[in-house]
Amino acid sequence: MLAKEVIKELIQYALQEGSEFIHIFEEEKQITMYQMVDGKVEKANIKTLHGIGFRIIQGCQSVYGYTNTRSVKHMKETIKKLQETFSNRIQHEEDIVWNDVQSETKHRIKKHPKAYTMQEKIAVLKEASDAAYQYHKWIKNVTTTYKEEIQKVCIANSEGTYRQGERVHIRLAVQAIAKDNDNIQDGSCAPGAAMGFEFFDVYQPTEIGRQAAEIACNMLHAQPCMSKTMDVVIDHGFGGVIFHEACGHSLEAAAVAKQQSIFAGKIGQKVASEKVTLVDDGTIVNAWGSSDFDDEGVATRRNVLIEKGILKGYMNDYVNAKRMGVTVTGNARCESYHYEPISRMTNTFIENGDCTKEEIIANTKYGLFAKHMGGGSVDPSTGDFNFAVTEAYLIEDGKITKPLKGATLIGNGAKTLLQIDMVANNLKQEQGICGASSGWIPTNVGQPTIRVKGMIVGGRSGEDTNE
Amino acid sequence: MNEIQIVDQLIANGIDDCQILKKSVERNAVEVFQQTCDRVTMSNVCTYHIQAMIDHKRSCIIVEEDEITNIEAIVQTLKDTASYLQAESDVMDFTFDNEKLQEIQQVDVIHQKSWKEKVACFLDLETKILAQNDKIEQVMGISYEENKVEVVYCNSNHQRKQQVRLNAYIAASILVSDQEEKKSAYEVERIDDWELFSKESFMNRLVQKGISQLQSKSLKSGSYPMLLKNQAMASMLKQFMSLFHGEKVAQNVSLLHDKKDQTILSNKITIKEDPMMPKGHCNCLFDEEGIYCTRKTLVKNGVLKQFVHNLKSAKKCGDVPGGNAFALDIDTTNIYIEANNTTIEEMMTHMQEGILIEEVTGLHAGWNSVTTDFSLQASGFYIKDGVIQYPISTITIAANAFELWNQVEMVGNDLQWITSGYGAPSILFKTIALSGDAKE
Repeated sequence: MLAKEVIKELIQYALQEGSEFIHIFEEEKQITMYQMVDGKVEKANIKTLHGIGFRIIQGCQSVYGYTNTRSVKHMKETIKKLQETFSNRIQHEEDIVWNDVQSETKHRIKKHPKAYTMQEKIAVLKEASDAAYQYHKWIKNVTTTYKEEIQKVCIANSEGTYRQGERVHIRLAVQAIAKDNDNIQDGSCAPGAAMGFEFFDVYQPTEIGRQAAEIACNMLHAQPCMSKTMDVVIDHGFGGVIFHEACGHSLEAAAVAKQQSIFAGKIGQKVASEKVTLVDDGTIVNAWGSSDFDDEGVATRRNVLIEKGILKGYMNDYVNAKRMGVTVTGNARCESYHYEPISRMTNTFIENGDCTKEEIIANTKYGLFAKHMGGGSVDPSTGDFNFAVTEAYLIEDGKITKPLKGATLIGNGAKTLLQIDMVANNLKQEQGICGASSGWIPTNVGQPTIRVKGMIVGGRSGEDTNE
Repeated sequence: MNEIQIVDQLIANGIDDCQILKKSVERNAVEVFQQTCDRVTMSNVCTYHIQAMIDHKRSCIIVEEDEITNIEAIVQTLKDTASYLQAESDVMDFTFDNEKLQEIQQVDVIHQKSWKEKVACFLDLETKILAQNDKIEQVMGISYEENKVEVVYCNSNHQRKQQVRLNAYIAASILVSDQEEKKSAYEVERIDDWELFSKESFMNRLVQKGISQLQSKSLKSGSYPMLLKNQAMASMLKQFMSLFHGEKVAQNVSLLHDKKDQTILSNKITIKEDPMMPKGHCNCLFDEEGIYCTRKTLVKNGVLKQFVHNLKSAKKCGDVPGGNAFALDIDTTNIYIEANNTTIEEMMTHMQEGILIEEVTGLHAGWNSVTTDFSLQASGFYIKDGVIQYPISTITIAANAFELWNQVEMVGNDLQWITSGYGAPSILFKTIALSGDAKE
């Protein structure tokens, strides 16, 4: 990584070339991936990278250049080329006074993955794989993947910000395929965290394997879901993807600042049921989407976005906060130095409500119980969203009955959030990878069990079950 | 060090068989918003994929640096990882190769116009789009990217191959509104030659896409004949292709693993791969194992003819490799469903009543790559008496892809591509399950 003096030299060079503001993001990263297929280690891939990105901002315009050269001369050439895109340049000579904040990380790594051998990591894969196979004879294929990312970052800017740190992420993913004659189904489980190897003290590999196999077996003989509008009970954990899609992306300032979000200009207005309090919190200790500071060097924090149905705030980054005349919120994130950081979610969830999951099910005469969810997508400008259900059951007369497969839920954020009428008290968060214009980043989604009235459920069975 | 020097260093450190793939990407991009260059990006990145055969195991390391400096550490990593690989013997074959296809001449689309001229074009386009219709609330952005990708392959037999690819894309999105209703539309086009790029055509397609969605309605849930428009069909083809991947076939997890030379789809469907075609989005001369890419017929009149392989999966399946090793996995170049000679109007007339689906969303989550069950958000038009009646949205369509693609009634003549290298004509299917919230 570059020495502090070199970073200073690059910033001062940019200012002399006429930059109003420059932000530097440097990273070194090692990504390790081991994959076991049907009990044998098939892949062992290691990727190392080093790169640096320079963002020059003038007003609300930004130019971003990135390279993996280690030559300071070439870095200056990059900066000069970027600065030449602006017609107005005011040269200034400023001495940079660092206001670097060095504090102990909240996300301490207790067992650094570098201290563990490949053999120990493969042993984890074997545990998960064996557990999946042992679940039931129907399990015919199991793929387990261990992924670890160790990233060193240095973030600095011409206002004196200087932050350095290391970020560690570990994830174990299991995909189990169940077969019984002509029936075939898969199930997945993929927890992750901003942790070291102590991750496996919290998330048992055998349990991860078992869960993936359980979903595959539960869905193996499921009938196709019907296509109709009905009440949906979405279970806790990854069910929180409904909020990630229905409002999360639409509350990122990248859309709001340009009036390209359905929630633009609605601070103080009711946008959801009063049972909904939505939070984005990048400070949760060792959570998948957490860090001490965002990719602009701003300390992460807990942001209440919606409080009892009322819109309270957005997630911001430097440029869009400037555009909107508000303060930054510690949400600027990017996948790597290939991308300019923009406002993104971290760990996004709704807070606990006042009833139990059992009460919600018992209170539902007819509907869909969405136990596990896949991913989804949204158009923030219209609010139209969709997400997939990977494990579902019918609810009839307050009881969970037959398994259903192949369902998708669609809706519009502005309407669906108002249709939430019950929220349980069993909040859980789970892990996903979110893709947007600053790349793919780890994010938590979460919620307690909730009920949404009248959602369009897309299935392929036209059969109309009794209500 | 150049690639040959790196290979020589690996050999000197005890690696007998190895290969290097060096990829250099130079990229420029701009986003235009409200008559300013809102975001500009420039980059220059170099990546090395280094693979070595050690004790019949192939280990790999990717180094994203502008220079390789620490060969000893790289060699140690390769040896360490090889010692833990347990799968069947891997393959690195420097004697095998396919016939090299004739490269398509590329126009230097990066230098054909100056950057200033291109930006002026986008600023003008933004103004013109906004002026087209008063229902266009906003041009959400016009983005442009051009890149030059240079790939050099070199192995321990000192065989060396090189290819250069120039790419340029323009994309734009608009927000249209009519009272309370808002819709967005997106259009993207690959630019192979600035002389052939028509701002007016691009603009007209984008505006038509947006405006035609206004006053859309949902439909009553049920089964409908479906005419799936070409680009939506191409995006489904992309998902379907994972079944053809040789490694999944070898592991018996692909539904096609034991279906070679059997009828798997309607006899109206022929699927081909062409790695070198005029205006090909994903033209490629050789893959990441240095094997020349070949033209293939994967499905002929509904009959499965072949899979796509890397060297390892080809050996396992007893097939010939066709240059499909990419990103340490298997992938394809330009894949398409052959067009027929029926117009879309003829298909609508034949259908009489049903749905014309223009766009599907949520493929990354709503498509099960193991079973090919899918349930997707969709939008398009309701057809009655063979003509468009009104736009439809807030609906899902769901089916099993195998079952659906065996119910083809007609294949159109309007082959069109999506930028990820998949192409298809519009196809009329007998029936599909639709979910909506209309009462009638």
